[in-house]
Amino acid sequence: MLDGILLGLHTVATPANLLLVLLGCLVGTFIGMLPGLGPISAIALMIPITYGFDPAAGMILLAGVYYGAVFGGSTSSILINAPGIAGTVASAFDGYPLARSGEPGKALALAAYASFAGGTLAALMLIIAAPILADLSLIFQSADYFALMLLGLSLVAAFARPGGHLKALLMACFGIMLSTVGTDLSAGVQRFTFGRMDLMDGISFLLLAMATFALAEALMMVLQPTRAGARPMSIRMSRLKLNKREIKQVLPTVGRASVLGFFVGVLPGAGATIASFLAYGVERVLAKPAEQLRFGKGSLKGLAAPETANNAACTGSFVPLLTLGIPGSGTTAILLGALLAYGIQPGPRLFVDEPQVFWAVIVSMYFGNLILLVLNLPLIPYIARILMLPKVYLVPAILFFSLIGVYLVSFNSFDIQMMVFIAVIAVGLRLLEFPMAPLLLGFILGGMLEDNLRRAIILSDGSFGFLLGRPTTVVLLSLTVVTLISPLLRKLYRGIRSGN
Amino acid sequence: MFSKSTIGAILFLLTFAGYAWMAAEIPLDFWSQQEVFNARTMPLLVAAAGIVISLLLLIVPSVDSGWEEIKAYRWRDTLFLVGLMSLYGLVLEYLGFLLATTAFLAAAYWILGEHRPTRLALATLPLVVGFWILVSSLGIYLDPGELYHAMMAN
Repeated sequence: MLDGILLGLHTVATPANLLLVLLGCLVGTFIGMLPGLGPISAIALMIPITYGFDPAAGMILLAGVYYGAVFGGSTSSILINAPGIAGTVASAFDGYPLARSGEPGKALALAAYASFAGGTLAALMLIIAAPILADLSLIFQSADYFALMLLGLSLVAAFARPGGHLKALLMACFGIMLSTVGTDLSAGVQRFTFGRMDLMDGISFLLLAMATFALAEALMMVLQPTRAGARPMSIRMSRLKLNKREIKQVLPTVGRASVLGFFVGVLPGAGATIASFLAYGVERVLAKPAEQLRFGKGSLKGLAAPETANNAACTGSFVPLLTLGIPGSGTTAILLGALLAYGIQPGPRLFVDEPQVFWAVIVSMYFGNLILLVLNLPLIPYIARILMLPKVYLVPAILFFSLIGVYLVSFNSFDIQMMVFIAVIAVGLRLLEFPMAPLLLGFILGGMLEDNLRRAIILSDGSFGFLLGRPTTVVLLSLTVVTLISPLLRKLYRGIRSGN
Repeated sequence: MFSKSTIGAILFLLTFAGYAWMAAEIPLDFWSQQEVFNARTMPLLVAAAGIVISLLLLIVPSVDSGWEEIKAYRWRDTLFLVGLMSLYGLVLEYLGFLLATTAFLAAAYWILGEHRPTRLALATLPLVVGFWILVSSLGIYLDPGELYHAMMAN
């Protein structure tokens, strides 16, 4: 293994390759900040440029672009509540309130530190455990995936205000409901499309996220002039650093979210989005009651958890790609295409046949994280000034970037109408104090929940016996039950204590 | 007056009831109807869960804030912006990116209170042209619009 790391270092640590990582991070950050253009678009745009490179150099550049785009997505998520990609939606839950409370510098710096820590820890885990994890990821079956999705859904409690669990559950159901719009691929029938061609592919996640977060938030700024985000801010830029107490507070979160993010990333099909939501939910559930109240209002843990997890998951998703040749996400599917274009077949033989590519990618991930940190910290004061814009300029800009971001993906103006319609519903639901995050969680998990439930039922000949058929499924389902009843148990425990 | 939770619960109850009705109407062939899990199963399960939770929300006492703040809301500006966005979606492909976006941004600034022509131009044109140059340099083609093509054809 040490030989491999040295080989990777030897390949990456040349001036030309370091320049490529730097270029990749810069371009990725820049493209990722534009709503609608995430890592997939960024990598797709860069692939033609890398055709003349040797495979290792090409992959080094693309890995830098990947990390840069994820960090760029976090920036727009934190500053203007416009998550350009699904993986950074959860970063907006606490990142945006923290930025809006006058500390955008600290929010962006924490995102950078957390991303770096998550990426670094995950790169270490990748080096140590990649081959073993690749085998383990194949052991996961439909029943286990179904149970994992249920566990994810049970975490909606984490997004609820005190006493608002039913509202959160309803929003999750609403999200699953929206995920069923479109063509049912197993039977080929259209569901809830009202005969419209535009709805045959379903509602896109980006559209939903932009409408419920960016557009709805911008409209709320106009609707409620006294709202915190509606006034231009004085920004405390001196506070880019975290103090000792804050570091102590987020360190365990970073550790947990790194491990969780990495393992979720390893599972094909799961990826950074689920990892970030799960990490956020786990931290909220584990937090003390007083800390729980800070979630959704600018909690440092609430920002550190998804930021760490999404970067760790990005690294984790390279495990099935490099060791099995299975792309675990849309982004790694594009990277698989790039590898194939270079004439390299990822899979168990990659490690043996092309060790310099295998290790160069792993080492360049670490370098990418390091360069992102060095590159982005000095830029934060300038990026954060966007929040000092008066509302009269900021709101139209958010509306424009959100609408055009979604339009650039589909080039279908129906999507703009759809966004406006969903944003109006979201504003109404916000006024009725329904949380938005469970809606997105339900939407993300809905499709996968249905696919895996269908597959598990077919495999078990139409019976629900699969629920108790495998230890992994049973453990995950037990965790789901514990998560669902934990607020009740906690209430009961407090009642007993106060009774004494 | 009804609480926010009650209104939300009633709206969701109606939504999920309608969803269940539509789910039951999803067309299935003979073979799909014999399957344990078909295109109707998941929507019906979700609708059932939604209806149960909506009913629970109606029954369980809520902890909502009141309606006092609603008087201070700026409904007019918000509705104008909603209408403007919808209009932007309608005319974008006809007028083309540059023209439609310039008009959209200028109108949005105007609605929010910026009426000085110089400021309107300075806040609109560099953003629109800059964005257009940026996405064009990334290889993303934004059509100049049907109007432009029609004018060029003549």
